[in-house]
Amino acid sequence: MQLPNNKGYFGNFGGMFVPELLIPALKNLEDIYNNLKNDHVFQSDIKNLLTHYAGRPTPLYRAKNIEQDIGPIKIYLKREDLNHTGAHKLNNTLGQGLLTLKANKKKVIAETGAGQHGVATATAAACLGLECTVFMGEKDMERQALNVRRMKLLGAKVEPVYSGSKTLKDACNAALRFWASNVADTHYIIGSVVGPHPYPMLVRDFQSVIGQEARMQILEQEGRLPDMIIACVGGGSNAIGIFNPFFNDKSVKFIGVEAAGFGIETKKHAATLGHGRPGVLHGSHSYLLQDAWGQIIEAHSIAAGLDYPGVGPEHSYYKSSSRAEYHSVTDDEAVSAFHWLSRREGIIPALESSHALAYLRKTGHDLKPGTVLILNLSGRGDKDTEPLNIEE
Amino acid sequence: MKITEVFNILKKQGKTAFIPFIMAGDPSMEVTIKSAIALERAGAHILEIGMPFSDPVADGPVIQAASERALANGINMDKILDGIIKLRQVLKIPIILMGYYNPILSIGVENFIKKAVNAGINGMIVADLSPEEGEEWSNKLKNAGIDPVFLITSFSGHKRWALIESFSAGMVYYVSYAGVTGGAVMPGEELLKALDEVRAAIKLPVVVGFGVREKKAVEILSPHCDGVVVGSAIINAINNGEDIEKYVKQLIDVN
Repeated sequence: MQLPNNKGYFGNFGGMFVPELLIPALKNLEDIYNNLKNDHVFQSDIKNLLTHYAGRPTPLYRAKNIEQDIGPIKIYLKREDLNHTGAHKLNNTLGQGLLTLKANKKKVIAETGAGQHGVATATAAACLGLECTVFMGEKDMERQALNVRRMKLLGAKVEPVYSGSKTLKDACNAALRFWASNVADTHYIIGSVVGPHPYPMLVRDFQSVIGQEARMQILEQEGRLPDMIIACVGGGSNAIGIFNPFFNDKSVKFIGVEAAGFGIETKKHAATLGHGRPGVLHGSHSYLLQDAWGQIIEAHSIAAGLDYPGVGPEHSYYKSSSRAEYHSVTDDEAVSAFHWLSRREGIIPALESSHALAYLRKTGHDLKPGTVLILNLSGRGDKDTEPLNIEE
Repeated sequence: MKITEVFNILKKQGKTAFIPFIMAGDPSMEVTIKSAIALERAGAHILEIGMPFSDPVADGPVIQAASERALANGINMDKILDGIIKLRQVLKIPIILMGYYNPILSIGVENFIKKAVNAGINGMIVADLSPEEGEEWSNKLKNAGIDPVFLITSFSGHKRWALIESFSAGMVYYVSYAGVTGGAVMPGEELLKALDEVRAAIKLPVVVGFGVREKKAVEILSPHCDGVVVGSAIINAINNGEDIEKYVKQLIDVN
């Protein structure tokens, strides 16, 4: 079975729910991408950039110190924090940046929550000679000030978004509205496996380098496939990136970890798959946080990159077909895991990735001895030291 | 009255339809009903009523703010449709509901259509539903006797015109520029030429919307289309407490 199908569906999820104005641009993007997907020159251009510019492959590191805290299992960290710009996001923006050039466009826009995708887009734009504007919620600009400074240094224009919850969801709305007015000369680099077809497909494809590398690395280091892969899920691009190349390896269990924020019972969370229901937002049919009348509810997470009331349609499909399990951890559990990894392994993880770590820390002792698992350390946490007010 | 009948009558009179847009529940359903009646009295031929959505990506600041006010005041789909049942008893002109797909999906498409039929809705525009996702929706509405109205833009291209027309009934809606609602653009030659081409190619009436706010724009557009939609300007007028009937009368010539 091909996922997505030719209408952009993963099972019942996905599709192209956008105003007519954007349909021709999406179809054009789909055509360009389908023609390039198997083009050797395009693929080698991407590979060159990923190798010599981004610094890939990223290491697969066995974290023996935290194994001692958890039990007789083997824990491997896929070190996306060591990718250029400090997160997995650049894998996608370099790919879409090259697509922009192929589409003969000179301008790119992006939405950003934590600022990681904004920085990655600004970086790819600087590298490839594109003009870049990033939409960012006012609230996120405050809590991720470091990334705002980085984007500006990289030559991008950062456009504050004052509407709605002033976070990622509203940055997406603003970017879509801007794109509708500028679709002729501008490509919209969506930062996660969300949005209308073909975005969930092409972002997945560009991020699948994570799982492709991890698969080779674990076979080399362990001589076998892992039993489990754990990744945090906001929109879900780092998780799909590492899960997808293992999709047909049925023995490999996928665990996605969402943000439970202040706690599910407080209703201030971002556990879309765990506690939402299907609907249509930002161009695709997928799980959503919404009220009884189909109005979107504001999400909450201490991790700006997870603070989103939607999720990629491929995750909704993985959930409904039971290919993956989705769980959630609270802000407090994530912050505690942030400190834990920093002290124990000398790696400061992003608050987003700290959700995956917190789940491992909470449940890892129940795993069968000898279990081999990979946790996707999707980004580094320098950006999070200020909001947490860390002194020592 | 059905949408088609309105255009048949206007065609004989050599007139263009005036189609105002108001937001349901902004600031209350009572005001929406009162405004609707005033608009009919002022000479509106068809009325578009917006269903607020939390994330209206096709709309500019004025309609975004109207949606936020309506939602903050507790409007929901049931209250909108209940209000329209009352309105329908006094309003003769066709009513088109316009909104986004998720609130419809949330109460269930069949359930929504049943309620819309019961409320006397004549047409439906869903901003984030293009023909790519709209086939079943279009068929279900047509079967229920409600006209599905799809949008055409300058990017749609000749090939899509036929597709969009086949999915639509009553009329099609031409988006006057690339962008979101609420701009202020004086129609230029390019737009008028595009409208002439679309009208020559398809049989359904073609109405124009997005960015029409001045009497002059209505006058320029009228010979090139079958109807003109005015939204953000009217919502502003209601929000500023202006006499809506007087406001609309100065926008259009009522003979």
